[in-house]
Amino acid sequence: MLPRALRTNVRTILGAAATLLAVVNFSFAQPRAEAGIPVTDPLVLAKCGTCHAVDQHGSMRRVSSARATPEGWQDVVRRMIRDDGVSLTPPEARDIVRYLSTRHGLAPDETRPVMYYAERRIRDEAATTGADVRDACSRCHQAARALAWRRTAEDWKLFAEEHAARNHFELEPGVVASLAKRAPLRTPEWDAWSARASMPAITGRWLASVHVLGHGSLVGDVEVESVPGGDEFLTRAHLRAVDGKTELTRTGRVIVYAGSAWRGRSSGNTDARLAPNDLLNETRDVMWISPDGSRAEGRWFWGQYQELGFDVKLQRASPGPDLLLVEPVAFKLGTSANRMRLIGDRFPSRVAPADLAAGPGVTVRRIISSSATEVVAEVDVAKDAVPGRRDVAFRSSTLARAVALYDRVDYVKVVPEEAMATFGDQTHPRGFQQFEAVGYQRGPDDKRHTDDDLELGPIDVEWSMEVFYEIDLSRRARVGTISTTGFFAPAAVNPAANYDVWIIATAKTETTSEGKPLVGKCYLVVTVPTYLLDGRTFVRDLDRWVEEGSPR
Amino acid sequence: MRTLAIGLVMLLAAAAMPMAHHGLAEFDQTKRVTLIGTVTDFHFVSPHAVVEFDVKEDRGRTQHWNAEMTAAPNLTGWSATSLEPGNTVTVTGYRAKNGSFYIWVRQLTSSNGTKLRGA
Repeated sequence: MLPRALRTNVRTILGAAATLLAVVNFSFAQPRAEAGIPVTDPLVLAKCGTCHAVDQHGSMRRVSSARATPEGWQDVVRRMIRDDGVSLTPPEARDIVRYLSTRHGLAPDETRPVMYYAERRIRDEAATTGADVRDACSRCHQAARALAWRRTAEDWKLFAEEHAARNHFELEPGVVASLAKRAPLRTPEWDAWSARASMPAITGRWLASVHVLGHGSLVGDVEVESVPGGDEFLTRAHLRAVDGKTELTRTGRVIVYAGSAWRGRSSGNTDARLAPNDLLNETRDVMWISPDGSRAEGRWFWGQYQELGFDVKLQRASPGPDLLLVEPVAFKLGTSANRMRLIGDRFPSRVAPADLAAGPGVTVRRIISSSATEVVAEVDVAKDAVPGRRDVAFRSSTLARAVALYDRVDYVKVVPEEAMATFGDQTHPRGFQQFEAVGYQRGPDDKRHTDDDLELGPIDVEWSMEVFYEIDLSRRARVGTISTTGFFAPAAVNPAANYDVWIIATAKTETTSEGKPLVGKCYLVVTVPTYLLDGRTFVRDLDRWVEEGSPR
Repeated sequence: MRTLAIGLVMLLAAAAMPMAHHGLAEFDQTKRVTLIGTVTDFHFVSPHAVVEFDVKEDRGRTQHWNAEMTAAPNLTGWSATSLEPGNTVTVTGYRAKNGSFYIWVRQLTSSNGTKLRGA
């Protein structure tokens, strides 16, 4: 047996060794703090640095641990002003958002999957977002709002705990880990993009292809020029409807964040009192610019609930020719002498049938007319041509999936298929809804309403509405009206009740095999603008209800 | 678009208030009725999936009915093609109090094998 003193020393040494091992083990078990993104902007350092400490590497607490879209940083700056008493002039707030959105922004490939959040589109997130994140977020907002951020694992934990405390909900286990895995601060996409993030190059001429529900397709161009001495851009869009009924000019201002996030406002510059669905209304313009800078796409939207908008696609103008659109977008098998309009830019002065190709079974008989922006051809479609979507090429310019060949219109779909409109009150303008009727062919599986169905474009319909449980038409006047162009306007007087409504599109020419007109329907809920529950006021935000005054 | 359902489900959760989105108040829950008819359309949407079907009266006339169910995302295992025009359906549920041809589905059986119970 060891002497007592030695036994004590051995215990001390073993204890120290155990402690050392524990410390070593702990240091291995804990992930090393992820390196943050240094903050170098003097204004951010001055305004944010008073609370967010900066270490010797230039990392600012919290700020260096996160990246986000412009909307994300705007939310934060707004909250800092509102809740934390930060004093900023509007130009200072804009400059801070601009710096953070660019130097702590998202790469285009990171932004694209969540663009619908910035574009204020209602979207089914089931297929794109993990159930844990979706369930945790979607009670109050789209999950994309969270996934428009990138953070270190530590910052996701801090954020989630603060967010749960501020908004009074319980954090579900596993959500933080899932967010940290899905949206880490450091990504290959950002590493590859960050050096290019501060180089927006959008000046010049873009060709525009636009669709507006209920108004059809429009084409034209957007001229972009830089503002001297600043980092904003001026835009001038000239658009003309394919049906020839509308031509308009819109001007605006744009900022590009992180080299790919186009954010601006534009309008038709008129003092006239505009209808709610007038295309000259002022819009918020949100676009995604492709990494190579050759394309941009997004939404210019307006309305109390951002429910109306232009779906916009831009491409850089080239020496030409550039094919933008083919009209009509669908041709029936076994038809001849169809007029096919190719709409684009810088078509040559001399055009021959051989310049145009739409694949086997489509024969270009002759060119009826041509100009710099439009070629009209006469085409025959063989009875045995393969139905489906196909490309159309004009010389070197190809438009993918430009037209559909079909045998019959099998059904009419009203888009959107589910919708919400909102009565107004003294403080909340009405929320409207535009509908469009689209024809479909059943697709190769011979079943309607499946993924392979072939979209045939808008069709001509008569619009009507039917209020649920209506037996004497007494409810209709209280609910609203549907116009001949599919525009639903809720009644001007808020009846303090919700209504379920069928919006019905009855085809003017397409019929069933029994000779009855094809009919499509949308389920529209017409709601109140606010409601009270347990003494709290809830208001509509896009497609859900949030407590009034809560950050959105 | 299923997110719309979430917002509306929240409204339903607040059904105690007078302006809530409709619950079952429009329907007579004191007695069940059973109808047999032919599906003319199926709307797999929110806030309620709806089956449209035609029922032949004794005198040979046809009544056009709307059968409401829970929201599409809650119809586990169902899709937009679960019911198709031409299917024969037997629907049991609560009829609208005001006599309109609407029914809230409690049970549904289709000739194509689709079933819904206790909705």
